[in-house]
Amino acid sequence: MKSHINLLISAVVLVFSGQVIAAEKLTLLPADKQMSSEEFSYALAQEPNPGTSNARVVKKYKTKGRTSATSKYPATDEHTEQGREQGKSLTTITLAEKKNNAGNSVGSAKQVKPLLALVAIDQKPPPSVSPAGQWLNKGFTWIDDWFIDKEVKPWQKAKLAEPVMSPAGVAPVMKKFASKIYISKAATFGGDGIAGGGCGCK
Amino acid sequence: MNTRTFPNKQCFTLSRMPDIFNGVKAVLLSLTMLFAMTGTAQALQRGDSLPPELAAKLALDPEKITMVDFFASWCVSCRIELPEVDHLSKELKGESVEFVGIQVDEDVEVGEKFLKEIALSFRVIDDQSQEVIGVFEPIGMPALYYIQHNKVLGIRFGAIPQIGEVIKQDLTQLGALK
Repeated sequence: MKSHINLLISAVVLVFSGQVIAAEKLTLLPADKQMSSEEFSYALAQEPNPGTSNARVVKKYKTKGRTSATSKYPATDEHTEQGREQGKSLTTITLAEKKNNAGNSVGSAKQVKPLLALVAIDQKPPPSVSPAGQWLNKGFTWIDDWFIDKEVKPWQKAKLAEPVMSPAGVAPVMKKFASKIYISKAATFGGDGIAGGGCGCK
Repeated sequence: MNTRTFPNKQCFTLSRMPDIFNGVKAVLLSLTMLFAMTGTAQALQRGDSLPPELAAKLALDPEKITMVDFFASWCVSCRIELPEVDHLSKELKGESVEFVGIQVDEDVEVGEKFLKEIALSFRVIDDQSQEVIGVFEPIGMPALYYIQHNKVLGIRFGAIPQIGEVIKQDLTQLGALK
């Protein structure tokens, strides 16, 4: 008897839970697109396997490193009238542009890049930070002055440039050790000696 | 005193600051901010003009393009570059280019010894107090500045191989050389 009751309870729970889930799914759709329970069940039956859905295949194709190749194909849909019209307008624009630029493109020479950025001498270089950032920098530098230790400027490094101030001091053993690290780090460029990969060709 | 109930509500109400102090605090804070916004000295960038006091101290020829070279005895790259710059200054003596060196050594004796050692042919200004370089504020040594009409036209920082050729190119680009 108990098992019958348990079965009945579980069946009721299952039915109600199913209804609740279906109701939740229906509420996600807009009011005009909401389906009746029969339509909904049909739609569920007709839903394709998500593993082979069209969107997934397209996404897989696009993310396979072929984005540059796909961009060559026309962006407009040739199978609809609207798409064909869009395509026409695009081609006319490109042709017109080509006509305009035809004269310039023939005689244009390659621009030589200057060695030093002195091109616009009268103009100031563009700021590296935003105006808000500049304003904040200007306004809050006094905090550095008050609370942070004064930094050593590039022209105040007379003491730091002395050999005694090197990380290992003037000890010759440490110099050898430092050179070993340098050679290991810069081995591809040859370190202190000749560059090479150990093949004996150099 | 019952420690379990301490601090009680009365304690907080007594220690609360009157509202007028909040207003005073806000005014003080805003005044401090305004004081801070007055601005601090910035490094000289391309396109900036030299301050008048500095221009008077350097006494540069406004018509010529002056290459100001900051150097020090402890700066290894400066030691390597200076003979080449000196050679170039001799080469371009007749041109509308002026070379000015600014020595920033803090130790006078060391600085003088170094100057004797390299024997530069162009004018060198002693900046022992580091006031001049403090205005320019280069980000590295050696620092080269191209100046005309007391206006910075170009800057080069750090060790540069074949500095003579690079300076020649820069001066050509600036119109000082043909």
